[in-house]
Amino acid sequence: MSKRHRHHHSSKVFGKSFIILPIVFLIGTYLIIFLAFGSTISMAVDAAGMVFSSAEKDYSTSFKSIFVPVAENKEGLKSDDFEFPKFNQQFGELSIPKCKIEAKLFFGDGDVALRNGVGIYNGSSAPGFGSTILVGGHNNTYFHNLKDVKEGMPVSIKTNYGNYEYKIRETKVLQYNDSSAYDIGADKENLVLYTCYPFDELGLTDQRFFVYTDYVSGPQIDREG
Amino acid sequence: MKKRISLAALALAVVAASSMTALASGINANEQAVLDKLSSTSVSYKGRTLSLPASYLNQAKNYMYTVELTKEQCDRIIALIDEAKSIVEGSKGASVSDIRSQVLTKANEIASVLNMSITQEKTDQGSQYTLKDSEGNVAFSASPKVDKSGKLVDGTVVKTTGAGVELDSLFAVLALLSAATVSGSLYLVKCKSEA
Repeated sequence: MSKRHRHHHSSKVFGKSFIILPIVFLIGTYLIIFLAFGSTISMAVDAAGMVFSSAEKDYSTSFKSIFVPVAENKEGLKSDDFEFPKFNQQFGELSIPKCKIEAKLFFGDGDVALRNGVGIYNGSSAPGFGSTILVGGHNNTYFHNLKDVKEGMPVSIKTNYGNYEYKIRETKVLQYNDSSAYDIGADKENLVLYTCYPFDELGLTDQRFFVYTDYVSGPQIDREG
Repeated sequence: MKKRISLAALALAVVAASSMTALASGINANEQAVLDKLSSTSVSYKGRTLSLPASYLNQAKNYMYTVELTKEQCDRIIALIDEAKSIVEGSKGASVSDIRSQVLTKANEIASVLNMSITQEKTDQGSQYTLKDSEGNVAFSASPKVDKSGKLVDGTVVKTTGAGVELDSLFAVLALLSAATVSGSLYLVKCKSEA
């Protein structure tokens, strides 16, 4: 093989090995790993984040649960008839059966809550208290199937003091800091679910997918203890 | 700035003063008086008026559902609300940092007396203030902001709930680049050996 021919052959091999092939492997491997092991990688990255991240995060998976399902709703329920949940406590379960969404429901939406289920923003209300209940969940875990919700679908919340039903009214994609996305001070009970959008985007996103639901049934709590 | 800090500190102080036994639930008449005071209090400064947003009031109320306050404590809280308001409204000429310092000092004193702690953390949404009781339970957490309409709001209502948080994307890309480089290198070695 002549020197010129060898140089040309080496250039071709170099181009294949370090440019074309890596790109092909990159795309193929990314698709395989993301689709098959997305949640696993997220856990590994969180572990790395414990070492490298400067932001304080709670990576514990342990939490207290006060949730004991209620067989039948009680009439005339008062707030001092049951234990109100503290921050990061599981006190219920949220489900949207038609989308196969089932998650532990926490009061508070800190890391512990969002890692183990879905969480109510503690500046909003709880089911039965006649105002807006704002619930967040991760789009790659418990709220991944939120993308399949449709108007009219029922949403069920079971708590340690009663069982609630809501019906989906509409969905919207809005900026995370759009305060018109919810009315925290509403005087009518409503449930708002949200998660990051787009659903399969890796990395931080400014948009959120909001699901708005109307109250259907469940015990209303007398707020005077 | 000083208005939102003082109001946030006010809310913190109220919740701090609420730290009591964990057995109670419901809102008693004393606690309701505190909530009424909070919801009716506004701070005026240079022609602008700010009041506590619903999210702050809800946090105070939600925490009160888990504790029980006495009349003495509630009277002290209500007096504290008036004192904090006086600090801001009587602060003509004082710098923002001085006002913030005074109000936060008062909030910390109340918190320590009641065995609660206040932490301040820098986040993407600005300073986040968190009040925890002696058991580490979060009683209040907010990142005070003034929105475009001039209202005090919490900048951390909607959380990050995506697959990528901080290092997610970086590590995913690094891992995949490593896999690609190794694969390419192996191919190069193979070609060289064949040549």
